[in-house]
Amino acid sequence: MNLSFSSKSDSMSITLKKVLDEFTQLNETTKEHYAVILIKVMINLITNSKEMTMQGLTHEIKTAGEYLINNAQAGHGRSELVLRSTQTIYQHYISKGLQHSKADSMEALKQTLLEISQELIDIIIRSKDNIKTQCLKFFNNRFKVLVVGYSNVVIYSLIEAFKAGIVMEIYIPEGRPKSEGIETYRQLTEIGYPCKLIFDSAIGQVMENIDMVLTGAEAVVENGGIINRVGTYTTAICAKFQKKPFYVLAESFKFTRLFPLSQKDLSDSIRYSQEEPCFSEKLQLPENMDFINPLCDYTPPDLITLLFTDVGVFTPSAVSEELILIFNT
Amino acid sequence: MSEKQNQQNPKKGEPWKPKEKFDKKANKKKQEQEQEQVEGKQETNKQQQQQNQQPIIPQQTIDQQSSQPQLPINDKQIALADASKEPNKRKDFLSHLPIFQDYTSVSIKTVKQIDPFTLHHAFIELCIQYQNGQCIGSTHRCVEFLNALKQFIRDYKLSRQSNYFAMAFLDELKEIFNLMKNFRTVNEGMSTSYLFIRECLMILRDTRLDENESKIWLCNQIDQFIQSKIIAASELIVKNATQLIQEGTTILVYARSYLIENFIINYIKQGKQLTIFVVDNPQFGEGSQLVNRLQQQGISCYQILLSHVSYILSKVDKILVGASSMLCNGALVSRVGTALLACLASTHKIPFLVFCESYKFSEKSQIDSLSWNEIAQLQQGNENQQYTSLSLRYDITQSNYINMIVTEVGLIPATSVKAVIGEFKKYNYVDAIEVPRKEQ
Repeated sequence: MNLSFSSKSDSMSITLKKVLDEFTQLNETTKEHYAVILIKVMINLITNSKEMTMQGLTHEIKTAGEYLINNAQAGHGRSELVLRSTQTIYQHYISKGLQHSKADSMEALKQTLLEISQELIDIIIRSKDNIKTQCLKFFNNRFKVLVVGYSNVVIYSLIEAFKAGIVMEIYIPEGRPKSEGIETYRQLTEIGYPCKLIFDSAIGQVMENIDMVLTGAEAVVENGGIINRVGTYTTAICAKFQKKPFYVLAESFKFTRLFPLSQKDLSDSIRYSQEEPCFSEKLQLPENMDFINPLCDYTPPDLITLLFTDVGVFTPSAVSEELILIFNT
Repeated sequence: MSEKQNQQNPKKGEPWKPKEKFDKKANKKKQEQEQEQVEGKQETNKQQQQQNQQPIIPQQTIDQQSSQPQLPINDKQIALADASKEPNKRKDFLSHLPIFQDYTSVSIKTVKQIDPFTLHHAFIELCIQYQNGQCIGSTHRCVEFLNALKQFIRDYKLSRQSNYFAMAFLDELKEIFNLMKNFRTVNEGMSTSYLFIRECLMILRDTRLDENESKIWLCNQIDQFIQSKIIAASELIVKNATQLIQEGTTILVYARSYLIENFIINYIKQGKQLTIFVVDNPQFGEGSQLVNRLQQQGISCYQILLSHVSYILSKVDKILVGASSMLCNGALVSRVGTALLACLASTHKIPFLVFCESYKFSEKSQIDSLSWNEIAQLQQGNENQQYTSLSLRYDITQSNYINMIVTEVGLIPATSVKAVIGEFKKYNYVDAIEVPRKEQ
């Protein structure tokens, strides 16, 4: 009795390690989005699973997901929020699929799950295109746009806009401490946009010349607010005060069931960055400096004008209704 | 009399015989006056009422009364400055609101001499409890209403001519509901339960159960409603809220809400610390009731008045209030004073949380507190005072002041109320009602 129990937990930990290795490997080799990688890893897990019951399988998926979220080095300092939201939605679709499936055997059941997973991957891959199509209606020639942070979706939309012939002036704040703005700058100037890099402290001064602010999101929370790289909240406050529209581009798998009411309600892993910030060597830093280095901050919904998602263009109050639709049907 | 004529025009296939329906005990009590009645009848009623209760008011007012569109019941405690005007009816901007007279069991008996309608004794007890403040609070009123209804169902006997319990009971239910509106406004929870029972009766109508089985099934359905929509919902809400509130926070609560009381008791029993400020209600004194109940459980808290709230707000982390109902446009209908608290909260940027079960969600929509409300009686010593009291029971808090609603469905922002209502309508308010099968 004892032997079989320990062997089960052993086999579980072996599976988990395999899953984690697969995830990191795919992350390094392919250029796909984390959400897609997560689901591909889950697909392999399901095909290789030796579980004989539905409950066992769902439990395995759940534990593997949790393990991945806690241990995966998501790279570029991205927080675990994307993985967490994808995992929740994935589990929800899995359980709905299991409820409605008429499969008799374990094999047929697994087949249904694999189909669902593949469908979800297709949706995720197409989401960028959907967002881009909706965005293009809001872009115009000679607009001045402030792009906050480094977001694949925003860069993709801007590139497609350029190919469609819309040329806008882009202002990019550097985005300390990670200086992600420099990566955005590099990618946009390669295409041919006239870009200007500004320092974070200059956002307030530049804001009166700007026509709109674009940003991505790490997670979209239930009341329509977003959790994004630190600095987004400050920019949103400036934009609101200067009455400039603040647009968020986010795919639908980033919707989570979190509901923070203030910055305090974010979890510790999001509020405190694990990495050391780098400073220029010319500065003479005092020894043992104590600093606050948050990773992400929360932007409340009243600062956001519109959210562009692959299921539609929403005001923040509509996000909750979408969530209810996703999680109740 | 005209009412009897109404009774004797039966609906199709169903003669209506009131006195045969109740057993002897219930027959002793009589019912309240209907609101839609012939004006001549109303005048005589009013004359008699006035003679019984208000000998001071001059008789000339009766003619003025009959010429105006009216509320049939007079408010003896409101006196207008102009003596020649109608002293017992409001003429100000609140004249569209219902006014309820204070009834005791004695006064009901005098009224019943005029009116042959009968109301089951359980409802009469309930209405008196509503009036004198023993039964207040939306959840409490709804549960007591459903209990009274169950008692009524058990005592109800079909007349010989009608064979179908469901159809007869449907009319009966409507009558009761209309009559109860004479005592106090019907709140949203009671409306939802009424709609639910009507759905059950529709289903019952299509089956072929006999009277006893129908009654048992209906009582079971009511029990299920109470269990799932009120009791289980309250447990879920308490669980959701416990994850929200971290240990050691300072919370402010207003008046007395069943859900918040449960939440605090539950939270403290888990061994966590909480600093509680209870804001007392100016007229109804519900805050002190909450403090007493918490003290009985051994929980200590601070009690302050609504006027003192502004200096305490800097120390408060979160504000929790209960709800009478949530409207479709995200507005909150709650005890008067809640809107004040919400404005203060938003100025100080303090999160304002509402605890509300989903059965209190309403499809109505309201933007200000005056278009629908309920006038509350102020306890005045001198009946002949020369001012008009302005005391309402509810007020409306707009959705932009509400940060979050804690329901059993989850944590939702104020703007998503109509999405939740839409979801529930698909399921007939509770999960699909199980169709009863005839026992062999």
